[in-house]
Amino acid sequence: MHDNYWLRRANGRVSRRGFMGGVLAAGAGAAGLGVVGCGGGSSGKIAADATSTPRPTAVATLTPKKGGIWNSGATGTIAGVAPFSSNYNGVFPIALAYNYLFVNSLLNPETGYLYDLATKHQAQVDQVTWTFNLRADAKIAPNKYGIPERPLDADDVKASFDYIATKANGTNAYAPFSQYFDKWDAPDKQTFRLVTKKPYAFTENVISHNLYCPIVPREWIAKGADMMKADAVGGGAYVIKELTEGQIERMEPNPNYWDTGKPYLGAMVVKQFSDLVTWRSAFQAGQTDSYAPQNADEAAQLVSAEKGLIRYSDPGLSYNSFWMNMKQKPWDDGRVRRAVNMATNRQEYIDIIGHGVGEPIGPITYAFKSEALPKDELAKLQPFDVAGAKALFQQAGVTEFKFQHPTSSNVADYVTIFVRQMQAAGVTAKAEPLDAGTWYGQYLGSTLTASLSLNQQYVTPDLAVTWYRTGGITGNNRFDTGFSDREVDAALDKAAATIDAKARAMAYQDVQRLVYKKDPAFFNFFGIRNEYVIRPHIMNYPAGQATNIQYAMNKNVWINK
Amino acid sequence: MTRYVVRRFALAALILWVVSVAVFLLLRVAGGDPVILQQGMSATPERIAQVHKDLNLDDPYYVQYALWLKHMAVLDFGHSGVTGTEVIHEFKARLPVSFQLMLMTLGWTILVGIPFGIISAVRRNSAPDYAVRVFAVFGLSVPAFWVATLVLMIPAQNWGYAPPLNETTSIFSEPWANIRQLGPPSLVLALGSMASIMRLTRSQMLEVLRADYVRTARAKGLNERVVVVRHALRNSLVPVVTVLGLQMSGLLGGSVIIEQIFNLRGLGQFIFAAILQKDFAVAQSVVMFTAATAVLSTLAVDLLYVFLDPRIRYS
Repeated sequence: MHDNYWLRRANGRVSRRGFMGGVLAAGAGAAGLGVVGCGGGSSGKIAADATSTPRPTAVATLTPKKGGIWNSGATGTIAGVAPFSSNYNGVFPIALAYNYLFVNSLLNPETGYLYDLATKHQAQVDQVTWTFNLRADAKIAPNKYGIPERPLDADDVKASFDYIATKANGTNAYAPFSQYFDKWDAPDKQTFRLVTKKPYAFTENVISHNLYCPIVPREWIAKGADMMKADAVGGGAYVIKELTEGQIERMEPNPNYWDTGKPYLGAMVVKQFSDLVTWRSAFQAGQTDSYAPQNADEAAQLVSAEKGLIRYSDPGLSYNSFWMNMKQKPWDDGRVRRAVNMATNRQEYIDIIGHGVGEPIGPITYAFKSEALPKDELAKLQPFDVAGAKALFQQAGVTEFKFQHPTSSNVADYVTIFVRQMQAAGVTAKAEPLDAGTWYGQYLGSTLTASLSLNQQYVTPDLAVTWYRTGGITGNNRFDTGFSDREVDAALDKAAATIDAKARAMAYQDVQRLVYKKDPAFFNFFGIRNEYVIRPHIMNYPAGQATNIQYAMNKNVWINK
Repeated sequence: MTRYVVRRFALAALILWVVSVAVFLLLRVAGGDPVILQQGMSATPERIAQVHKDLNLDDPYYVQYALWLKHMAVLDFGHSGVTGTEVIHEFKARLPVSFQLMLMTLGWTILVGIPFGIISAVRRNSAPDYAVRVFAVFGLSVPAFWVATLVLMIPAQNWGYAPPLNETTSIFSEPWANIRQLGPPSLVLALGSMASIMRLTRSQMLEVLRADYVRTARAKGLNERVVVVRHALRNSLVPVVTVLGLQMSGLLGGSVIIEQIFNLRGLGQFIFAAILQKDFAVAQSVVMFTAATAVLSTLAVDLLYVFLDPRIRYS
């Protein structure tokens, strides 16, 4: 509880000397700020090449220090910390407060498996039976809910899987669980067994996905969805100390964490900002240690303005797309769908929105290097051809069409460019802005005519191309374009069941080639690059595009000051 | 006077009822399902149906409206559909921030707007008059959100300074941090109202200073300060107070963007997020509170006239 400054004044507890000291400190602070303002000139550390992210190298020689606070930031809402269904900023404390069997990512194959609750795992030769050996020393963190501080075991894993697979719980991982996972059990406390319905190449990615498979103590699951949404009780590296919507997420080390001595940080704080300008200003004023610039120009500007700032630049998983409802005219005509794609000049989007940085992408983003189509081939499969688009629109007798979009500020540039490019191809694209709630509801119900489809992000290639599967991205006709093709479905099944990595990459490229032949009702604009700037005293910063790896390596971060 | 006050309260109740109907209906006819938005894409139809039932969203509008009024009557604002927290808790945490922002804005408006308006009138066509008039035009023409963005970005970029942007500070426990946090946004928010009050005060003062009784006061040999402050100013203030009252009522609802930019955890930020996320319980409660504040402050201003202008009598 705060004490009352004014009462303290009234009681004479702020002495004249104290007051003068405060004034001097304020003066020194102002001088310090002046130094910061005058500094700069360094271009900072930036990515060594177009695709890789540099890792700090000097830290290996330094001994990590315990304590200190890493002040990070975020925009958007927290919306609770429901471990199995959160999609907003709550995912951050979830990933730190709970354990995962292990963590790995297709985007950071060099990292391998970061084992957490499991110490090893293996698949039998049939590639459908998976066994996980669990550690005995992963204990539940102290808590105020009467959940015993006991070791987590295979029954907790089973309880978590059971919860995820229950349709009524509405979990993030329900779709892959219902589609691919058959059964699971806990033969003993330290062994968990999973059987898939058929060989599935991305089993490990589903299990290690931070939004999909946190392992939650069974007693905590029994408390119900509302309790789990309000707080977290797990055996992860951190415990939630404060969670205030619109304000702060504060995490502190779990004293029972199995990896003794870690995490190094005294606290990890994510400050919530309502606007990027506000976060940027807070970062520049030293109120946060990290910031996510919107593009390469902004990142370069920040780095040149502050000496020592470290910049990370990675191929991003996010992209925006155009969604067409094939159950409505004119999108039932393949020529129109093809024409819109042909009239789209992706380079203009990259130049204006990405400030020249980004890559044109097909159904699978360029961040998945092996599965994405080669650049040259992609340019042939989705050519920018205004004359061709014009001819197709004319053949189809289309001179105008409507499309919807949410009224968020980051969409405005897309709308302007899209309308202009369609105009160049001889059609009038009429934009219909909808408030976010209305737009989302109609999008989910597939009642929009056509729409800009924002913030696509998938951690595996198979999820990204699920847009072209019968039933749509969720498999149950939500957000469904109406696109359905048995040949494509079969190709997708084949690719997902291909265990050999090289053969699988080829299979996904083939899927994309096939999709283009069918005039898809969903196409992507361009893949962004993720930019991050951090202050140099943040050591072992887990840079990289795979968020689940970042979360898992967060326990190694320490403050060097 | 009593009859007048009673009548005004009855009118206020009627206005609030109309507002309640309007906000209730507008949120619903705008389209979109709040439950789908709040539960996310992974929510099953069963879950969505259950939440619909829990929130009575399947009932006819008049039933939903009656239930809402019933709860509002006992100050039960319900739970936020997004965060699950009780609206009243959030309300209690956020109201002091918005209220202090409103008071500080009003303070700037009165402390700067009225004296400079008087100076401008008394020293008409002089350099200070021109300066005040230029400032007034600037204050009225530039949008507050633009100034706010500059106020935040320029010091941060050039001197590495920003007001505390992520802390809820209290004037009671951390007065200096609190002033640093709320000073800049209140000043930005006050720009427009300061400008209009300056202009209004100036024009009213000019009119009064030309009046016969002011000439008489001067002829009697009264000190100029007494003439201006005691005789001219008081008579000039009636329309100024009216405008101040109207501005005050608009400040609570009008601080939405400023609270967003300065990351203040006030009611403006609360309602902004609630409307975007179709959080009915929050949006309805905050709108009703803002409307009640507007209605009551207007009433208070009307009653204040009696003390400012002895010629006004309510019957």
